[in-house]
Amino acid sequence: MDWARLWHELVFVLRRLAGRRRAEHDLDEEIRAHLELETRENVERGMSPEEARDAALRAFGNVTLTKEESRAMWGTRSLEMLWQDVRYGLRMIARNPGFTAVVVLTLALGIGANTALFSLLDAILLRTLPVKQPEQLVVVGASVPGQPGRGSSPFSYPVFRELREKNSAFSGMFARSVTPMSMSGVGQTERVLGELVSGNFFSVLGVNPHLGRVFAEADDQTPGTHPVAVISYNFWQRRFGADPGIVGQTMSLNGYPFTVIGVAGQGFQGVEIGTAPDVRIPLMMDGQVRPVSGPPIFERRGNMWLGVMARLKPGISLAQAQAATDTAFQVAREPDVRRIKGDTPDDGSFKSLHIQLDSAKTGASSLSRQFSQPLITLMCLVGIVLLIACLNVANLLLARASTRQKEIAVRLALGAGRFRLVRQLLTEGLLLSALGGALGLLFARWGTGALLSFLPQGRIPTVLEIKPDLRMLGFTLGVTLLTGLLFGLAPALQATRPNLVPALKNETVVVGNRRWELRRLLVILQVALSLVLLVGAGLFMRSLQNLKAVDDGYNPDQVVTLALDPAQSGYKLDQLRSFYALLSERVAALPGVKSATYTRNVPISGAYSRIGIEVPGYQPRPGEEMAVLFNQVDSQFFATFGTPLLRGREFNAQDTPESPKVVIVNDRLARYFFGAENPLGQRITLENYQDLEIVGVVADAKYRNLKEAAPQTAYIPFAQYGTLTQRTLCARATGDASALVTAIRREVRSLDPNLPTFNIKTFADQINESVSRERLMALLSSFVGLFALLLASLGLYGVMAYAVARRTREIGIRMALGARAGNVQWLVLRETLLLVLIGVTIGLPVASVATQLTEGLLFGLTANDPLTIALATSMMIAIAALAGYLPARRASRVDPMAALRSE
Amino acid sequence: MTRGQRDQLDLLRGTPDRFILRSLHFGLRHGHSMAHTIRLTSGDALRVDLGSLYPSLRRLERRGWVAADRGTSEHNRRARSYRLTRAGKRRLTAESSKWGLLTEAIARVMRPREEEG
Repeated sequence: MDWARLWHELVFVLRRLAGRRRAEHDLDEEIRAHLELETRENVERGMSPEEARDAALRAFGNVTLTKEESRAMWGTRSLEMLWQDVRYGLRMIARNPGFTAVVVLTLALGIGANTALFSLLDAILLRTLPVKQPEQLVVVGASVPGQPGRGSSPFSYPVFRELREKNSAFSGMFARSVTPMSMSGVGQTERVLGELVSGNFFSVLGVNPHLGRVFAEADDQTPGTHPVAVISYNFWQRRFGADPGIVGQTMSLNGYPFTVIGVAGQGFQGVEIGTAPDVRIPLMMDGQVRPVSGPPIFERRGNMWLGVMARLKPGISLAQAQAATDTAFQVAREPDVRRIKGDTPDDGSFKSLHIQLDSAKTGASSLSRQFSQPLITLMCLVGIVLLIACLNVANLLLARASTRQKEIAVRLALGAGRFRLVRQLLTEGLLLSALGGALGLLFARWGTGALLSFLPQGRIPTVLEIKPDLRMLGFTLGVTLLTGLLFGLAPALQATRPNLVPALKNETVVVGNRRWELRRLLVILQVALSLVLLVGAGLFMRSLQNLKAVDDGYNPDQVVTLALDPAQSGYKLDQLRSFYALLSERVAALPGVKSATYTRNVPISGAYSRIGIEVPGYQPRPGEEMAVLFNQVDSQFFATFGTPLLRGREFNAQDTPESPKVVIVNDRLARYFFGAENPLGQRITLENYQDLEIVGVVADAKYRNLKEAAPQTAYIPFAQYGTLTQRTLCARATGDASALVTAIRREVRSLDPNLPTFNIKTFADQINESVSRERLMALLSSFVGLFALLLASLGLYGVMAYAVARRTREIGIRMALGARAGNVQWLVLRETLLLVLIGVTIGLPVASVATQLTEGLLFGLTANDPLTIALATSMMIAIAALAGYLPARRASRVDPMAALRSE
Repeated sequence: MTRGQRDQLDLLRGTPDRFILRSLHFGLRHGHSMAHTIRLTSGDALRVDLGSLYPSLRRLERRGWVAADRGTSEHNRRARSYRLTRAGKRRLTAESSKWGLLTEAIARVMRPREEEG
């Protein structure tokens, strides 16, 4: 494309547009001069002045046409016409404020919902990581072939080290581990999100420092000797007010001093979408921020704590790299397979693990895995809603076009081109959609905020930055244009071929049997699509209901939970023991507190532990995986959470490090291993915990999530072991649980003012949060479904009201001939119901196909749940009947005499 | 259509434009004298259709190949006179050589080929 020439032409056109009058004048002058010169020459050749003038004119040809054509050459005509159309369109819009408001609002809701969802979808699924050549990045995971990926941190340090040494397919491979930390030494003690990274993290990603420097390999060599930290750009801005003197300062992370050596580049949040670590430190410093007793973590093969990512060498395919890495992986983990020890993650298919590489172009994210299906489903839903909105607006425009029939007929009769009129009507449509789009952007801003509040906020906070950017604006613009054309075209085409003569004579055009006119087809489509949305909404609502009705085995009201991690602040074992004892004692003594306890994992929070089990006398079936879920709790745990004790006792003060080791199991575990036998007094071994006596059996309770059936679970008391793990304090209130929070925090602060507390919430909220995805789906789909239903019924009402108005005379005659009000009402209602039934007949099969998309998102029912479909259908028919009833009633009140006299 | 084919079609379609550009080669002109020049130089064989002269001039102006000056004519009337711009001169040179090729080609095709005769 020749830009210089294009530019020149544009300038020319604009200048002409600005100086149009002068250009016209110039043209007149020029032609007049031409004619005069020609005349003069002719005179000189001997003609009479009149002859000379005539000859000149003859030679020139059609002066007016020449002028017209010259003007066309200025290239301003189309712009002038566009401007005319826009002005005219604006006048029409301003003249019907009510109509405009309805249309713009309808479109704004549709476009706004689409934009809001798109921006979320974009942030979670589509946007590429702001690093060097993100398409080369892969997440190195381990999974059982045929099963979806497991945790995000599947590697122990020894395995990672070996993979990295033997790697041949990658130009770089790094490991990381995200962990919350408490930061002190610079102002207020604060809980921040930390990430331990291998020394090549920044260099493999290609992220440069904004200030100072980032880690090099030399910063991650020997355990415990690299007290350096790189902070994120956002954290630097937010926490340190963009202080350029931050480099070189010392901050204390979990009580250990680190020197800030740099600020990472702007825009880089992390490799995991939704997770934005504030501080990064070398992997080798793990022992300083997460002290463990026993051998250092770098030698432990049982601790799977590293997430691994790598950059493919150019020219190596994902499959090649996967094969090469898997070979190395199988060698590296051979000792692990031979002797599984420690906390193995997840379920027991450990032996059949294989390396799986996934592109990390858009980041490594559990968020995208968790939310991709819901988001895509929702995107489809709001897309359908926008389509319905378009149909509705098209319908309104058609109705209005019929009132403008006379105006259009006059213009056509005066010789206006049909194309010109279509263009003008389309311009009006686009103006409406542009207004809708602008308002929609505003709605989208609120919508995005509301959507973000549905993202899970667990141990690691979810941070998504969604700002209106060019992609979002581009999307909105595209959608707006498309909708404008979609709803504008049909009315424009239909309106510009009126029956000229009757329209001009101011007659109502009586069309024979136009039962299947465009407007009816649009309404049928609306009904069909709305039904699809209603069925979807019904499925999600009932899913959520099913989840809420689930017996989780707890009494979640009135329980408040608050997580503590004093070990991170440097508490030693004996300090921990007295701190915890003192705190629970004081909290239990607070007025309004019934009981207080601790737990390692809060149920339904997503945190859980799994452990191998041995039961003397039980012969595992071949291939049976001997593992159960496991939790460590304090006395009063079951009382606090409202889980009934079926046999034996809770943990209590008798259980001390010196007393015989005890365990409480749930009913399912007891029945599985002991059947009808009395489980009390039986002995079991849980991996590192040998020979435990069962002292209690509790009712089954959900553990990992609400969807899964209550698993076999074993509980051991904190009191009998020294352990540094993080605990959550849980208290049951006699009244309102949330009122306790302040008092409990005050107690914590009185014991240690510098100890951060986190994840403070009521257990009921925790359970609610665990179904946030389902709530999001139910809420949004029902909003969308109701909106669609409203639009469809408006459309129906409009069509029927119009039909009644058109048939006033006929109805008058019928009534004059003795038809009763009931007959007339039925006449109109029957027509409405016919439209709806056709819509439903089309909609149901579409729904049954479309809902297959939702299969994995449902709980306790299938996508073709008959009850849901019946409910949605009857709701549709009922609302439609209502929409038809109003015009029907009006029809039955037609005064026969007035109707007959009207023409 | 390939680029080359399109160029050749343009070559034929743009013929009046080429005459106009050519007639401006020797300096400022206004419309009337351009028509004259073309008629005279072609030995009265070619006449510019006056109805398309002025629109063509506007088009050439928009393309930036000619520029208009407001001046007075020989008889002291106000009239627009046109001159070739630099881009216009370049265009004319390019066109002339292409035109030469085309006429040569046409001549070769039209000439009876004796060896077959």
